Amino acid sequence: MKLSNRRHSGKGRFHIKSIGGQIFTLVMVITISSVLILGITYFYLAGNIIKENLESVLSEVVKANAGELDNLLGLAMQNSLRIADDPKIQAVLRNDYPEDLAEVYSQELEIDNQLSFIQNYVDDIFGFYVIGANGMQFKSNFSSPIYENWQNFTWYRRIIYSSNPVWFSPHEGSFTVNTIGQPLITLGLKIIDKSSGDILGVILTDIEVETIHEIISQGLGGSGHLSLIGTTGNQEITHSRDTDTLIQSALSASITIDYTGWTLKGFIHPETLEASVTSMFKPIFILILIIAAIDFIAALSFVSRTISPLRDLAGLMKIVQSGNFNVNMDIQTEDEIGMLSNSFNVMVAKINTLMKDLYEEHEKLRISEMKTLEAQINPHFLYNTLESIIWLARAGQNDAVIRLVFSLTNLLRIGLSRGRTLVTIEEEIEHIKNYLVIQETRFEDEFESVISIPETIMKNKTLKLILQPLVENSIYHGIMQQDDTGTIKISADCSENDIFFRIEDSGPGISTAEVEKLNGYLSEMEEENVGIGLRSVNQRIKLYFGPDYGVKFKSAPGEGTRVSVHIPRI
Amino acid sequence: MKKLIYPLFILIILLSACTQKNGNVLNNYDPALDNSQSESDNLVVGFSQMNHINPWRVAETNDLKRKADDLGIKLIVLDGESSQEKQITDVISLIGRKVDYIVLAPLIYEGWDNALNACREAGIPLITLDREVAGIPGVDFLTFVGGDFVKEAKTAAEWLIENTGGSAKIIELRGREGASCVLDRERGFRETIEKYNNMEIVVSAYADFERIKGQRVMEEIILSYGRNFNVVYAHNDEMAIGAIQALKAANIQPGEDVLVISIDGSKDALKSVIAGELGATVECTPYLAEQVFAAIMRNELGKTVPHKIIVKERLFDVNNATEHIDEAF
Repeated sequence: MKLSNRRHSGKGRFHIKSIGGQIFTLVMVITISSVLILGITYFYLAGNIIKENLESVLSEVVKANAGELDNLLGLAMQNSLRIADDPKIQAVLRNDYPEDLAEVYSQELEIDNQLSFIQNYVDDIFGFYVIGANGMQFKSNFSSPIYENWQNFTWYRRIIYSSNPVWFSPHEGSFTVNTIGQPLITLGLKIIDKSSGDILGVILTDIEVETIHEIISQGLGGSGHLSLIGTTGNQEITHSRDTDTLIQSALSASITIDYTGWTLKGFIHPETLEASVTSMFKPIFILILIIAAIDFIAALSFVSRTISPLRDLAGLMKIVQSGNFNVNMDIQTEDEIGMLSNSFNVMVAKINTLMKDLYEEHEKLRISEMKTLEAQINPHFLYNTLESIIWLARAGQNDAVIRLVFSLTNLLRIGLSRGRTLVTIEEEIEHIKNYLVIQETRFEDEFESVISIPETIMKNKTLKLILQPLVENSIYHGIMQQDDTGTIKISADCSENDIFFRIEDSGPGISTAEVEKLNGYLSEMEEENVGIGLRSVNQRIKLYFGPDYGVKFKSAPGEGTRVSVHIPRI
Repeated sequence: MKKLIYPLFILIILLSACTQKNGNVLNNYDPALDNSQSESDNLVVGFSQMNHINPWRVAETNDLKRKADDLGIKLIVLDGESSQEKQITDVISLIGRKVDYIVLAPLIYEGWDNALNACREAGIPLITLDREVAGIPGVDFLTFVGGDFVKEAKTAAEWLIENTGGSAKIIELRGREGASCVLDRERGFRETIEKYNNMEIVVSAYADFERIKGQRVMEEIILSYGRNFNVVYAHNDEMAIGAIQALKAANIQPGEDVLVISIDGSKDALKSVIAGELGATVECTPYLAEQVFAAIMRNELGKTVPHKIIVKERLFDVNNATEHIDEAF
């Protein structure tokens, strides 16, 4: 509809002239737009699902990593508690610092060894260090110890004054042993004397930040990163991303690590989301392309199948328009197009027949008219008339001669009537009057004529020269058959649509059988039995106005003959 | 050249002390040669350390770091994680980072051709630190800085001969298979005890320089070989300390029933000496940074660098351990 409106308005930016183009465009627009809408909807929904999936994966990953971190921190905690509760260590710490250095070192090396065995079973812990309030200190790893008065250090005080285990944020290098300065997080616990409740010292547990990093770096691969955030000031302890540049995140999830109160945050990078969505988009896009291609081909073949017969039809119509009706449409289908083609063929055939008929009828009409004319001015009539004129001239009746010549002239003039087929009834009556003048002059006193035509129909049209042959017929076959003076009465009736002329003579009449015969002859167009004039009148009327109209005889012996002429009122 | 001026002044001071002490290689340095202007475009030195799983290596790395800081030299440390492959990768990556020198503490002796060639092609001088690699000094690499492992082993052997009267059944705890110091420490020790018929190595086993392994291996030896030995010779202190715990656990009194000697001179070893458990430890100092940077400076000045820069060893036993424990690593 839109397209056709555009076309008519003429304002549209493009005109698609052919129906084929319009259907094609319409089909393409409808299919492509529905596929696009479907695609976009699917894309949108899939995007949401992907997002949800990523979210749940992310939260699972964060949870799993937090679990691993909990395990690691739990290992540190459990082993610290175990070391703090160890009776041998408690005993050594409970005693005063031995005076004999040899004994100090011997004990230290022995307990170091004990600690190193504990550590040996917990690979992920970098080291356990026991710092005694009595000055003894032990370590679980190979690191070389530093000897200081640790009791005065802030970290030591922080541990012993805290009721809870203390987690130290990443710091470079261990507090009490020599390391290469790698970042470590440290758990500090008090060692409380099991017998007295006194503080015997502290136990430090170092975990390399690298160990934590290793745990969380496996988490999300390249698709995102995990970040471990400390409790104070959002300080980042470590993260799994490759670069230090701040990466924006599309999705994030976080969980708190119970032991430390740290927060493990997981982020999905926008590119990951985009990539997943794009990977969804590709098949959809290909699908749209495929559907568009199929659609294109289907629309094209539909259009060519539907439209090409229409085009053929249009071409044939153009030929018909130019006047050639000898065309025929090949019918290939039984659909509407086929029906249309069939109707077209039938129509063209009918038009062809009608044209032929029309042509033939026209021809016949022309010939009858010609024959009427010939009949009218036949040599016999002319001879008789001219003889009458000569006779009158001899008799010195100049007025009569003039009247006769005048009537003959008028008769011929109206008869020719500049080639028109239709004349007004007035002219036709005028013509009859002139004829009657000539015949009355010729057949002096043998008959008289009465013409009574209603004025209302005078301007109506009639075929020319239809009355004269009938009047002639009445004169020769009616009046002339009796000795008395006859009468010819010419009258007319009319209704809204019809006009009836009546030519009545006062002749002897003819038998009903004769009348029937005569009427029969009139209808048999080709018969020669009836006079040329009479027959051609009927023929011409029927040809020109149709079979409903025509000439009819009515007569009975002794009652004269009445010929009625039925024509339409036009 | 210019970028070295400031660090060089510090070096001069340091080296004067150093050369007096060691007196071997660096006494030809003439400060007057150094007349270019001072500008501190940092020299970059890459250090491929084999690992940091014992205090010796930690001390060595820390010493290099400290000294580099003092000299205004940028030091990049890469940890080889006890893998030669990783160390080779590290060396290649240091070349990629366009360092001026590479210091390599090689895990083992053989198999460095690719790394050495890459350095030579890139024109980056390489110094092997504390252990040697297969190759020609001055051609395949600039120089070697470290102790004389053979000499260390000889010193240990001599101390044993003296303290056992030339008669001993010896358990040897070797370091890592294939390391140059292990070969040297075997060789020096054997060469020395060969002359004494009653000095006999009864068991020799690898314990990878690690304390726990030392203990485990010792436990296994006691179980499988028995107690018929009176000396443990360990290639490093950590293994010796581990072994001592194993001996104590087996009721063998170290220092009395069995004499233990090791090499390195770590703080824990001195503690053990003082505790009367470890008989002696031969110093193999991890403090090599002075010599490393001195060699680099000489090379920067276009002077010849000796093919081997050897740091002398000392022996700590019950007589001098207390005196030296604070300087031990």
